[in-house]
Amino acid sequence: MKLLASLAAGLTVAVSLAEELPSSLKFEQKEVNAISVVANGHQLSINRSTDADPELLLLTHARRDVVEFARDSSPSSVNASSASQEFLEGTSERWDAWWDDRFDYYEQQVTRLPVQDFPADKYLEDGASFNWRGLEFRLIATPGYTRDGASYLTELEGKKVAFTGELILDGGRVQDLYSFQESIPAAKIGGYHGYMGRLAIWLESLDKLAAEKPDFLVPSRGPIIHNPLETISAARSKARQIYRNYLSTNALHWYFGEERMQTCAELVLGPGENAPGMPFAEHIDLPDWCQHIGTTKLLVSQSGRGFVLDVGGTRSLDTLRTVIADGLVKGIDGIFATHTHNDHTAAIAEAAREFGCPVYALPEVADVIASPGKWFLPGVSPNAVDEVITKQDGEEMAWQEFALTFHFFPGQMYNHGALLVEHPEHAPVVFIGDSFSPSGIDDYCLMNRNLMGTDTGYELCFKILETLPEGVWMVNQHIPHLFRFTAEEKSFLLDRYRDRRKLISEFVNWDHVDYAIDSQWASFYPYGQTATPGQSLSTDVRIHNHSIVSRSFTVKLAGKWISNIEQKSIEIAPRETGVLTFSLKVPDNAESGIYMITADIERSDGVTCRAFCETLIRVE
Amino acid sequence: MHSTGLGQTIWIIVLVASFRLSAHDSLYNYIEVRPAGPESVEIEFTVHAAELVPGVDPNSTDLLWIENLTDAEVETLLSRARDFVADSYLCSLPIGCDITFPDCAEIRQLALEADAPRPGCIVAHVTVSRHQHPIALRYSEEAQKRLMLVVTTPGAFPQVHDLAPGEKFDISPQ
Repeated sequence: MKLLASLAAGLTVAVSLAEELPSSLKFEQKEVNAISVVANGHQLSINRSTDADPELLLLTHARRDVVEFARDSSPSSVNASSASQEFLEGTSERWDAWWDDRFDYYEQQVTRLPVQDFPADKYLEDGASFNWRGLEFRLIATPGYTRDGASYLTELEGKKVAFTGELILDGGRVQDLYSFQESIPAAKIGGYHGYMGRLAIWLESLDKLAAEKPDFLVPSRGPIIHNPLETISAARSKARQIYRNYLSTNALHWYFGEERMQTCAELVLGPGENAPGMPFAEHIDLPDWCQHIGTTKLLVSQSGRGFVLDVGGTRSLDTLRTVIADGLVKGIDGIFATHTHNDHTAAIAEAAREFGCPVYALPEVADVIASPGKWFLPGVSPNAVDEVITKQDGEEMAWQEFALTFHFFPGQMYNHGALLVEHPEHAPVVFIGDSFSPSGIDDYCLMNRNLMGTDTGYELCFKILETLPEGVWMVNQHIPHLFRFTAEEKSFLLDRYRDRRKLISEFVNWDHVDYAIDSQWASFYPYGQTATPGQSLSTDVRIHNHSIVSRSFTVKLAGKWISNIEQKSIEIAPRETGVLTFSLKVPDNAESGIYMITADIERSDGVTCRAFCETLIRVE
Repeated sequence: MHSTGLGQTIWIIVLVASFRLSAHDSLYNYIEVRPAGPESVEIEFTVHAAELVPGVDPNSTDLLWIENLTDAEVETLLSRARDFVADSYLCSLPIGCDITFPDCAEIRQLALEADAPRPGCIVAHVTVSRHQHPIALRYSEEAQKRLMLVVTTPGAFPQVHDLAPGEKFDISPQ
């Protein structure tokens, strides 16, 4: 009876809400919502049409999935924000350049941009109005989730309606967090360090939208929002809690000091607001057997032999040459790559050749530095290391008087390792790459794949630290100190981190927070490859099932040569990775150039992501 | 090439290049002290250029943006670099020893060179005699990053000093 009453109440609400919608508005909730306005038998659509080819289509932004649905809608005419023009045009030149530009990349923008041009007929500036079939529309720039986000306002049957794209979704949520990564010029924070860097801009956009007092928000994902002001208020509150939490555990407090962090806080949280970090952890000088050279650490044995962690550039390499020439080190016996960023790896290949020494890395790092063209990650150097000896998590190695233990350590980035170094006359030291500083956690770049599940990411790093010998010191490759957290400091960081995971899970539209953190939960491997006309080749689509239940995923490729490729499906256990392999054949008459292939991903529960990831094939 | 003021003209290098490196290089400010012949040591001040220009990503070490600057804008950039060094490092340099910065033409020329040891940075040098007394360096409390100060001595590992804003250090030109 109670259930029936609840159902009845729900139906009543649904009917009453539906009744509020203007009859001229057509709305079908889909992966990208089909939205149309009908006037005098003509149709205007927003991003994706409902049924007929629209006379006019309005683009809210230029993400690839939205643009592909817009293209499918075959509109007679397209209006878009002037901010979208750079993404809608010149695609061929952009992807050609991307073949090289994807290396050493630190701008950290989502690559889900159109593969082919989709030029608008009219580009509109912020505030521009236009009339369509007697209806006045006005574009307001609402960037934040994307750089080019725009909303369109109109009045339908006395109701003020805002078509808001992906700015804000039902419940005050957003689709993901990584789309917000951006530089924060006022705080002199670059794109790489700009965790949710467009949050302040997004909040401004929400303010603009709220000031318009719309009756409905019609987003391009999820249901229509019938209570705009309450939803916007909830979104603002959640976002600010996440950002305050982030600042409080941030490693950047060590490097940048309080003024910059205060600026970040005020931009998002408001004037006078702050989110101070914890006091710096205990830190002391490096031991005599460890030398700090740029981002390189050099271990020196009693016999004068050297073991190197990371070689990021010519300056570090020159110093290594000098200390050898000066007789301070008799030779280099090995190089360990802590992680895949170029300031740690760019000169490893040259150093290994010159010193004639092996290079060691965890599996998650080894393939990236040996085959960098197969990966797209922040700051990957194109300088491939000739040979990498893969060391498994927990594997031990003796070197001179030192005992070394390799660890998978997905902290600052997923493709990251650590090295426990035990010296007979010194407390143990774990070289944690760039994963912590004395002020906390290095998770400022979402594109680094800082997964937040309880079984990975920083949770795993904290667990690994607990397994290490008591009193172990940490050392960061950038910092010439040993440091370690007290139990209270660890609890503070971990508790706050767990709080943030909960806050984010309430802010995004996924069943697991890692889908919103990981821009590469589905990705191609290799990311880039070369081929010749007529050549057969294969490509994998790797899918990380971040859900806590088993799911099947169906993948369908799209691209110039792909018409005959079958779609493939795979069942993936919870929190595991699955691989689907596709065979391709480059046409015999293919001209040289960069060709793009994208993958549509469909999850068994109906979640669909069109053209979610891309791979580049260069035909030579 | 010109001097900032009183002293002799001292050689300088501008290390600007259309060469991408890492975002991480912007985590610290850098000073390096190293031998410059039998009688002198050289103090090198590194200024991360992108942090001086509004609108440029502070992580940027791709200096293509410099090519689009007018001469007047490059002069402004250099002026800011001088101000940055003057404001950040309170240095008791001997009379006649001035930190020298490059001119506009050198920046434009060197911006095209690759393989710079400090990509994205303007680097100025001052040379002082080994017979000088220790040079007191005070790192400004207003500095917005930590300072990595490296002292290089022949036959020894580089000595690395990690200074927080407000800390002092004596540079001994031995």
